[in-house]
Amino acid sequence: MLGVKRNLYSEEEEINNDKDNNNDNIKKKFKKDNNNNNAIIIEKKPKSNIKYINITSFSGHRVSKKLNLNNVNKKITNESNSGINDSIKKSYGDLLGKPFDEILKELEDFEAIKYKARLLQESEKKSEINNSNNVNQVKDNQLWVDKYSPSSFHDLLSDDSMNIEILKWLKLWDCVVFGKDIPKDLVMPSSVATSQLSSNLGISTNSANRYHSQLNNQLNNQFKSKSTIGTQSSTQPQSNSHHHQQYFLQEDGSPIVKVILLTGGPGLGKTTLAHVLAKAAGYNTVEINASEDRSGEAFESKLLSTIENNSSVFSNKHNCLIIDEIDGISGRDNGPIELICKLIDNSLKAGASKKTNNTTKKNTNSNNNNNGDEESESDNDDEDEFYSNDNEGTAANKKKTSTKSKKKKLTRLLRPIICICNDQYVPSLRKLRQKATVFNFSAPKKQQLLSRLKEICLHENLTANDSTLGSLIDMTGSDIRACINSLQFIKSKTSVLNSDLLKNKSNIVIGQKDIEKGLFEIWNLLFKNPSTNKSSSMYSASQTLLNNKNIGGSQEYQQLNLIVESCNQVDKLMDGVHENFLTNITADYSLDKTVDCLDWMVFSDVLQNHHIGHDEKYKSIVPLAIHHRCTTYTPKVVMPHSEYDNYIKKKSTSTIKDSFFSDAPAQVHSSIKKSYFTVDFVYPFIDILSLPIRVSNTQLYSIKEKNNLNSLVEIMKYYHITYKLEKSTANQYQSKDNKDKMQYKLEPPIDQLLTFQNQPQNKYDQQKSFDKSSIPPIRHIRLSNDQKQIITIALQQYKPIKKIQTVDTHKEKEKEKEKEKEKEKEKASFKQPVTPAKPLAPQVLKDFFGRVIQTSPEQKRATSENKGPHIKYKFQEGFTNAIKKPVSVKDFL
Amino acid sequence: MLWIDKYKPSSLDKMDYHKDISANLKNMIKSGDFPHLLVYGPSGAGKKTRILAILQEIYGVNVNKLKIDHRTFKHPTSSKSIQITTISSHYHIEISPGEAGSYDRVVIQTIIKEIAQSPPIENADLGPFKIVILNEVDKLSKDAQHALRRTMEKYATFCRLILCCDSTAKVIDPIKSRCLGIRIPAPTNEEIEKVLSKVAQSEKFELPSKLSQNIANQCNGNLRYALLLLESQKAKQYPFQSSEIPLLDWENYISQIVNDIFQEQSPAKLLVIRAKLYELLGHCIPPDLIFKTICLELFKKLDQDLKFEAIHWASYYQHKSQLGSKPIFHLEAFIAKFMSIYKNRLQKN
Repeated sequence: MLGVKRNLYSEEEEINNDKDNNNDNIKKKFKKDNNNNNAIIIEKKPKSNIKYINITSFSGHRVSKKLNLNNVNKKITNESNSGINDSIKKSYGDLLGKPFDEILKELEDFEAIKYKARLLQESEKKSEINNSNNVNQVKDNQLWVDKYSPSSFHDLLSDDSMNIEILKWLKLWDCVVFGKDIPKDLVMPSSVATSQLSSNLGISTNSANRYHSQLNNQLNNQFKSKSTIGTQSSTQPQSNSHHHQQYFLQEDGSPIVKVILLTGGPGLGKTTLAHVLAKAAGYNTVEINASEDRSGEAFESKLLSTIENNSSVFSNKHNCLIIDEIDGISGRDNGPIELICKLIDNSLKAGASKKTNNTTKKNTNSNNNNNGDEESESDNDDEDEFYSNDNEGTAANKKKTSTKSKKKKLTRLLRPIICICNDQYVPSLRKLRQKATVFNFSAPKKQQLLSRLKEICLHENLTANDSTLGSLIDMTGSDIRACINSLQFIKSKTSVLNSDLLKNKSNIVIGQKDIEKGLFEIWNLLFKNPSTNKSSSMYSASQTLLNNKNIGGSQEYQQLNLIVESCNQVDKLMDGVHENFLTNITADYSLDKTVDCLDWMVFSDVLQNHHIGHDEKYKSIVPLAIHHRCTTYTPKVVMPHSEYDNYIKKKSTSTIKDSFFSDAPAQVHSSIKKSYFTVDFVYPFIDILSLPIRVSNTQLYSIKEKNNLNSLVEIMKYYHITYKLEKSTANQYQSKDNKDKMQYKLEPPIDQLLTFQNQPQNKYDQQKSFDKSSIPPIRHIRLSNDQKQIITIALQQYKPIKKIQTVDTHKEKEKEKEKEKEKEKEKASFKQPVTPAKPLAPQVLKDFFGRVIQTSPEQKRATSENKGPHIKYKFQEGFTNAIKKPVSVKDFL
Repeated sequence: MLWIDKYKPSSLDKMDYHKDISANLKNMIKSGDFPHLLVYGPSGAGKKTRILAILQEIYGVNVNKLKIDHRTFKHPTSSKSIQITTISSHYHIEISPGEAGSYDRVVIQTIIKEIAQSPPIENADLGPFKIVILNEVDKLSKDAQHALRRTMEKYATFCRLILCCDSTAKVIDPIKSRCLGIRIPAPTNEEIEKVLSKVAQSEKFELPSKLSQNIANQCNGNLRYALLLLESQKAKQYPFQSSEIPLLDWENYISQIVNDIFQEQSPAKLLVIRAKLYELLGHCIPPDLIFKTICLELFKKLDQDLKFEAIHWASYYQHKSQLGSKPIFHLEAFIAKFMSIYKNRLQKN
């Protein structure tokens, strides 16, 4: 806790060894006072769902005060009374219990006492230091970050409500870990707060277990209120005789949320928070971080041993596992994360299937003296088969559980696990993110951080004014660790911190966090209008002018410069700038700014292509130039996607192109260049394919029409273009009529190359109203489904004739075979065989419903008639490697 | 078979236009040996047709027995494998190194070398040398072109390269100097109309002269496009009722863009246009062509001095886009620039 170290060393000299004699007295007195104060007024630790109010004293101490004093009375009777008690009793029923100024006064009193205690503490420390000079030196070498790391709940700089949430979650484990019922509202009794305080003061904590048992005893009989903690509500309602409802516990008493995930940028105090809270909840913290080997089995063994065993023989605390930097964890097949997820699943299942044995619990609870390892573990052995090995003494309990669950390999999670990472969206964490509750850290409030820094400066005899510290915070991006480190670094050189030091980077290399900002942030900054008052907090205007004679000028400008330079995705950055600059440009009536911006982008593109753009020096020029020209107060930034969309589009286009070319004969290759395919070939080609055909029986066609159809079929054959039956994708006009209607689609779908977005001519309508009579005005005719059907049939009819004609060339045969294979594939994929006779039947039926055509059944007949003497039977063609050969029926006769 | 394939002249004698070029080529072949060729000219003018005719002139009709190979080979240094399609007969092989994208240098270095290195087997049928046709030489990277230099000299005894490209502007000088350049100009409108009527005759249908004129105008000297247009018109409406030739879809699209430009000059409008430009690029319409078409569309509505400005900036940004790699920036910059100029002009008046 900072409180300890927060003392003013300036006064240290006054505290001498001769004060040691008084130590005991003061300590006693303090303790007593402290107890009283805490018990009555100050909930040092804000707990649970009970509403509390934060009170900040003039010296910056924060405490939380309960609003509902329902319990206070009872507690008071439990506690040893002091004079203030009466006043509270009188005011019982008020929200705060007593007038605010009174509270403030008490708070001040409390602080005074605390201060005394600190002095005392200091004197003790001092004497220690005096005793051994070595120790002293070691202390000096200590990093300030460690030296001033918070050691208690209230010293944490992170968001209070989040801290409480996390602590509540840790408390939920009490039932499983310590074997106690969890108070419904999880109110922390004053005694615990005291213990926390006393621990702050360096007095060794008593076994946490004891406090928790006390807690239970005190609270068991108190409440009516439902617990509303946490963010989730339980899925399983409690059915057993638990005397209070628990929404966050499983039936075996373990919390539903097994793992929490703390995320946030570096230096925001995630690790510190985890450690402090785990300690506060009475756990021994075991940390697995990136510095250790944690790949694969090493991790597994460590994880399992941690959650299974206690830390050591000497301590009776239970482990709380903290997995730091989990986003960087590696392992085969994402092993470690998978393992955790599996554990969670396992324990969730196991937890839900088991029922809490209340009697056992009560028994153990009433024991209330779980000081030893064995005792405490016997409490939860009904939940955990794993511990049953250790517990020889509690055979009775063991029997109950041993009947269940023997085959499970993995144990359940019976210890809280806190995972910490910088970036929760790392792919490997995706699975864990769904299972764990995620707490997102935001930067601490500037005021809070500032006051903390001030304290440190004071403590370390470093003179610094508020604005300088403020700018330090700005420079580091509210990174607590970076701030403190910078301070220490400055201290090592000089004892006065002023703005010159910060500014002059050549002199001292501090601040200016070199971490890469997210692209989004950069874009936002680029398009954000720099507010002028911000820079004035840093330097006066004259200084700005003096110090930055080079480009741009202001501090923001330079900072932006650095940020952009630190970004290593120049391409992406430029894409984003391009995508967003038009929406963020303002007051550009003459379009000069737009033109300028685009000229800069053109310039950057040219640079990129010459591989100069990646050079550190030039990277930031273009973005900054654009920043100069278009900024708004509220930038609208979207992720650039059009470049990628375009890429995808282009790719699909060229895939279609390629598939056309791969099927086409060699002659086509040499006559049509791929690059001109979409420019001047496809459009007329599709028109040629869209030869208008009368929708009627092909038998009724005139010779001319037949010839037309024939030539069309020949072309399609030549280019290997077919129509494929496909379920219409329920789009456009067809969706209403008949969704299941089969559509004929070109294969390869080169007609897709013709459709442009926002095309004014709606070809679909034309297609709909397509009628033989209304052809002329239409520009690009697309065939109707019925026409396509006819063509398909024609194609299929055409095939056998061609076969006979060209049956001798080996090449042709192979092609045919390939086609048949393709057909097989189609069959498989559409479950709608395209082979002549069969497939038509369902199609015909559907057409019958949808449209006017009655021709189809006739066509079927026509198909057979048309073939005349060549009656062909195709046996159900399965896939075979055998050589297929068309055989005439007469060969069999 | 489409008419473009059906009525493709297979020998130099059957060429419908540029008879002088055909005669020259014939003389060259008669002499028995010829240098590397660099055939260039606008798209659809008949470059490829002539190249194939040359082959046939040398080797006979058997050159037309083509086969397609999809060759895959490994990048010599990295593990990446490169796929390329080759079209070959006994006598020649045709490659588009541009297919390999940025690996075109590797294609040149490995495949061509491999072909060129091995001398042909002594066989009277096969002739004195192999012929390698390289398509789209102008799209080759500088590296690949430099790789080509040495190969051309070293294996000149066994192998002739016929390079084919639209424009020599991007072909490096050393290559140009090693080749005999043959320019195939686009056919004139009359020549196109002649071909069209010839096709109409053999297809036995009436071709109104108005329609054939329109087609010839529309196709800009691209005979392939002219024939395709004719066939599509025939397919669409025969007997021909109107002689109006529709624009291509993407040309329509560009004229929409141009309308947008004239409609409003603002960043917001530019955003709308950007989406349309992306759509065009997504359809694999080459950026250069977009530049050109936009510029020509703009011309229709501009007076003289603005025309000058438009063409100046179009060429300026087109040049820049050649240097860069993101055509959208350049296209947009051009449009923004023109918008700005146009707006200023409007305000002055």
